[in-house]
Amino acid sequence: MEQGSLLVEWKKDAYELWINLKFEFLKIRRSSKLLLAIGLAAVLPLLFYFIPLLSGGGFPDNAGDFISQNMNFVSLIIVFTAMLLAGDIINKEHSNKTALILYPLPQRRTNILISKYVVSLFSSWFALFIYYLFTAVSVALQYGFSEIPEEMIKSYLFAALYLSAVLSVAYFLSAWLKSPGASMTLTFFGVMIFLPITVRLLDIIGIDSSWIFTNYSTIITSIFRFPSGQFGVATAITEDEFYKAIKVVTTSAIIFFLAAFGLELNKEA
Amino acid sequence: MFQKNVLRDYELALFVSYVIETVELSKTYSGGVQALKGLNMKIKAGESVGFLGPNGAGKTTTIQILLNLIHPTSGEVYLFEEPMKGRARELLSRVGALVGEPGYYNNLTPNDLLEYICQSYRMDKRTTTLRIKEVLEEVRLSDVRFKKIGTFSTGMKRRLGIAQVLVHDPELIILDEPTLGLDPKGIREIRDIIKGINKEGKTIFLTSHNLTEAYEINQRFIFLDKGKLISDESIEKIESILGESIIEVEFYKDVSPDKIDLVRRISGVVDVKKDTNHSFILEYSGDKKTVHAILKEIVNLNLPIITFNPRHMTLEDYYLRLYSQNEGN
Ligand SMILES: Nc1ncnc2c1ncn2[C@@H]1O[C@H](COP(=O)(O)OP(=O)(O)O)[C@@H](O)[C@H]1O
Ligand SMILES: [Mg+2]
Repeated sequence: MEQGSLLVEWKKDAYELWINLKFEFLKIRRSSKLLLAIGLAAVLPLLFYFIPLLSGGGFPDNAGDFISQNMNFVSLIIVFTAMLLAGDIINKEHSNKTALILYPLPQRRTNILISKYVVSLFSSWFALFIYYLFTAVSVALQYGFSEIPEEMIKSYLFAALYLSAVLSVAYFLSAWLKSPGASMTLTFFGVMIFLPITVRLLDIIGIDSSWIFTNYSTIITSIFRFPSGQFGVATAITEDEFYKAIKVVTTSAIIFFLAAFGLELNKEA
Repeated sequence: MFQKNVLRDYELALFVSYVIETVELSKTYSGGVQALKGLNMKIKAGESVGFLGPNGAGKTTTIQILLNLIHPTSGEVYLFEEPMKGRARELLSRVGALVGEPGYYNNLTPNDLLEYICQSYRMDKRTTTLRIKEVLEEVRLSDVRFKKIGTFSTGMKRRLGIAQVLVHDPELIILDEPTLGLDPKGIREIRDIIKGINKEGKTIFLTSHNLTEAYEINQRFIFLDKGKLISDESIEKIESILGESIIEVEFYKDVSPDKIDLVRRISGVVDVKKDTNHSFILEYSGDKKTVHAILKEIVNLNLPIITFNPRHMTLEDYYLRLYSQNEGN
């Protein structure tokens, strides 16, 4: 009996998740945000390819240098995407009063909130993928297809993980702050400025800062320099450091997600 | 005797089922505002209830609690005779509600929104398509079914709100000030739609600060003031009150309570109630001669009278009287 009703409950939740995933996807597809995120992810690599090409400014000698120059902006792309796709994802339902339609429906808030996160996560991974794709295409056009480094896959996977943590921060701020403008702004400045400054300050006073995930944004590009030091100077990162990075970034993604959840489930209205 | 009791139990079990019941419902907001102070009410299946009160009376708060959007500080809510706690998802599937002034996703179409809502109520594809068509016809939005909601007027959005309330054919319909902020034409449209729903025998719980509006739609009226129920009347009671003869009396300055007591003692006068600032409503029994006699007496009392207007009680008089009586409390 108990098991039977548990199964029924689980089926209800699965169904609610499914319809909310579809609905969230519809909302994000109809808004200009996804397009904007993808657009920026595509335009940046294209600029770095076409501007030198057309102006005759020339390219670096090897694909490695070309990539490392371009990829300087990857963390900007990541924060921008997270801010756009999740920076107001929860508080906007309240400020626009659409929560008054959404929340009285016979479904668990949990399912709505998970759907929101999942849809923005996959959308942002897609935007990031477009960035890598266009970077790879410009490498292929300039240096030949075989020059596309296989580290790109590893870099993408780590960048996607890092993006998940940034997205969780955005998601958390959108549940915590009332104003969508404030949560979006704070997402950007928090991840780009406040957290890195905190890291620096902790380092200065000699407190361990390795638990702050923004420490590891550089791995996205330094992946290209190890293990062989093939491109440029090898700033070797050890396996241990890499796994620590994965652990810290994953934990941050989960903690911020759960914190947002706790806030929103207890919110009135 | 025995027979009678059996019948009563039988009645209770089969006919009288309460769709909404609140027990000592109280809500204090985090800022300290006591929006509800021990509200008790029972709404039977099939009733059409107007939930009335001025701004800030606690109407929206009550509705938000009924919909599990906010939690009461104390007290219980029963929907369909089941306690709300822990069962909101099941119970709310039998309710259609329009709360406050909801917002709409500007980039979606009525079809997108209603499809999602039908899905959340677990309706199958065929029923969904059919109901969306029906309900959009009912609120006269068929021709904008695939247009973006962002382009809609306030009146159209409100009608979409009604469509969203009705689309899953709920047993209980809750509407919070459905005509608020609309122009006269929009108000007319919404009232006509609601009157249409009324005929289908569903339970309706409608809030309004306008008794005239509720009178047009509902059969029972619950009056709320400062978080408390102050009166609960049937339409028959209100109709009988409307026949009452009154005289509206206005003075140009304050009149002491002693003087008002003198007025109250004039023969023919049944009661005197404060209306607004310097105005009073005199209830009397009698004919035109009585009215004339009362006027003469008031003049004799040397009161600062400037208006003397005998007429029948209106809904507005009744409403004002109810709330001015409650003023001191
Ligand atoms: N979220 C809130 N926080 C604090 N006070 C509130 C909140 N919502 C309503 N109130 C207060 O509670 C009282 C009742 O409000 P409400 O239920 O909206 O009344 P009504 O719908 O009858 O106009 C008012 O004094 C209002 O200011
Ligand atoms: Mg209200």
